[in-house]
Amino acid sequence: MASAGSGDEKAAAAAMITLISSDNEKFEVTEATATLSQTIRHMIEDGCTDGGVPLPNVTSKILARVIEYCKKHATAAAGEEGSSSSFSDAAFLEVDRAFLEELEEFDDAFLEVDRATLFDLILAANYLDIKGLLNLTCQKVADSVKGKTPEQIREMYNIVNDLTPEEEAEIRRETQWAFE
Amino acid sequence: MNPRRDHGEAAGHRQQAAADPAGQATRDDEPDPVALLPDDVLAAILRRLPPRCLAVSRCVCAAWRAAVDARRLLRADLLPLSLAGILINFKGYYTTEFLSSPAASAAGRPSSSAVSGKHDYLPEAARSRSWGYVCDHCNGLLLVHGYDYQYQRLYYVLNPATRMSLASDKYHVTKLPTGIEAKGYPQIYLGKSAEGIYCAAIKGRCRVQIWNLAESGCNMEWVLKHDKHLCKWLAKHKLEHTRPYEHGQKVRGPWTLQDINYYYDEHDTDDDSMEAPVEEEFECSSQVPADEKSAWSSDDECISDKYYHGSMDILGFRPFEEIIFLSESITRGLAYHFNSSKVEVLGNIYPEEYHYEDDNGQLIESSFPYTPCWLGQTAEENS
Repeated sequence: MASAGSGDEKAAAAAMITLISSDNEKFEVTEATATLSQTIRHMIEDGCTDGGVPLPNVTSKILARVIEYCKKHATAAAGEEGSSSSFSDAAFLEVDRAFLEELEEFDDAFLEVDRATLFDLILAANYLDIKGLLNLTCQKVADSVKGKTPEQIREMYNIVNDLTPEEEAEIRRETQWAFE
Repeated sequence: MNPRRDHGEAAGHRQQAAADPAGQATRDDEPDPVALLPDDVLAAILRRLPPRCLAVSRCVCAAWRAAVDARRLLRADLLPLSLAGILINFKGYYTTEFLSSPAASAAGRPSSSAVSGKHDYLPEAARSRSWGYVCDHCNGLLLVHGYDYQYQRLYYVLNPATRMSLASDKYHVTKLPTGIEAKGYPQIYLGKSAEGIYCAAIKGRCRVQIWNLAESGCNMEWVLKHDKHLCKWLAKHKLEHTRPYEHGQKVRGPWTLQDINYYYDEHDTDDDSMEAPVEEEFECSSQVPADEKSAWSSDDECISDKYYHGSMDILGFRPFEEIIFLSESITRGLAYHFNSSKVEVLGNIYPEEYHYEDDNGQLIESSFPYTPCWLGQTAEENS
């Protein structure tokens, strides 16, 4: 038991990756979790993750959230794979549906963040190349813009209107139907 | 800035943040967070918007406009374009006429109408002062047939809205609705409108039949949507004269025929004295009121058309609305709302000094409603 345990530990340790945030905090994650990031997957493939992966663009606060997302989605993926062999079709579909629902709930809760965090998450997801997280966060911003006027959008995101009145009139004329 | 106003704005922001279901906090000192996003990410966000929102977001700031334009997120072929007018090919005329809608003129450039057949942007090689014969169109582009200085045939693609031109060079068959007499254009017309593909036919002198192509799975069939005589309205609102050139009296209406053949198609002349007259100030509301004069409900129509001596041709369908455009005796343009059976007078469609005759009265060879596209689809090719 003891010897087997030490063997497992060794295998587990080999599959662990250390991520280092911009403020020098270290996060230990499994390879399955880390490889949701294409950027890190490439680093692992290139064998340059020894001594940790420095992520100078991501703060510890944001990295913790990103890891939370990856852990959940990595487990979900593993769960789906594991379940497929051991359940009948109907039961499998049931489990599958439950997984998806749970994941959706998780995603909804995950997006309950302030605006600054949301944009930091987008930047991190883009830098780490985590497709699911980028889709999720971009959709959130897109939804917030939907149905708004240009004035409302500018106000919402403190965007300075740098278009001249002539340019703005030209744009409105080009797609007049959108402003009717 | 006045501090009190700052205060007011901050309060406004807080209110908005509170109303936001996501409960996002807004800080006034926070700079534009979107400005920090790389172009690709901004585009990834905007890509998720439907066309209307995408068009609106082009108006937010220069960076947003650039993000949309650089990746062509707003696809011109999917846009709901508005109707500028109707292109009509008259028998014997080399140049396509344009019956311009009042909305197109009002929305366009300050002087004259926005879409014009007048030459000042055609390819160098084209020798005439106007566009030539418009053979076909799609997405706001026209396929034009013209001649160069050596009288060689020349085909080019033209966007009259943005005034740019380009020099250029398994079928499923659905039969026409049964009961249609095979007369061909302009008594049969196939077009797009509110609910997809429509087919219209004029039976006898003034009976309008309209079918809609209903698709269910792989099956497509024509469903008769409308079948009515217009003779009562036509008898009640009789044309004073057909052939207005004989009487010097034109039908009045909000739409204007540009008379390109008369004003601009003088080959080889550099004389600019032949300018179309400035369009008359036309009060649509007073001239075309929604009363008996122009609009009419055909509920009590008669069945016989033997007292009606004019002829009806089909000019096309209005996109996105159940309206068919008709030509009455090549003199008066009509818009017929076929869901409510109302008729509206568009205006004169008879070209100035047009003297062709045809035994069958078929002086219009083809016509189609034109929806311009204002986005610079050919910008890079042109520069």
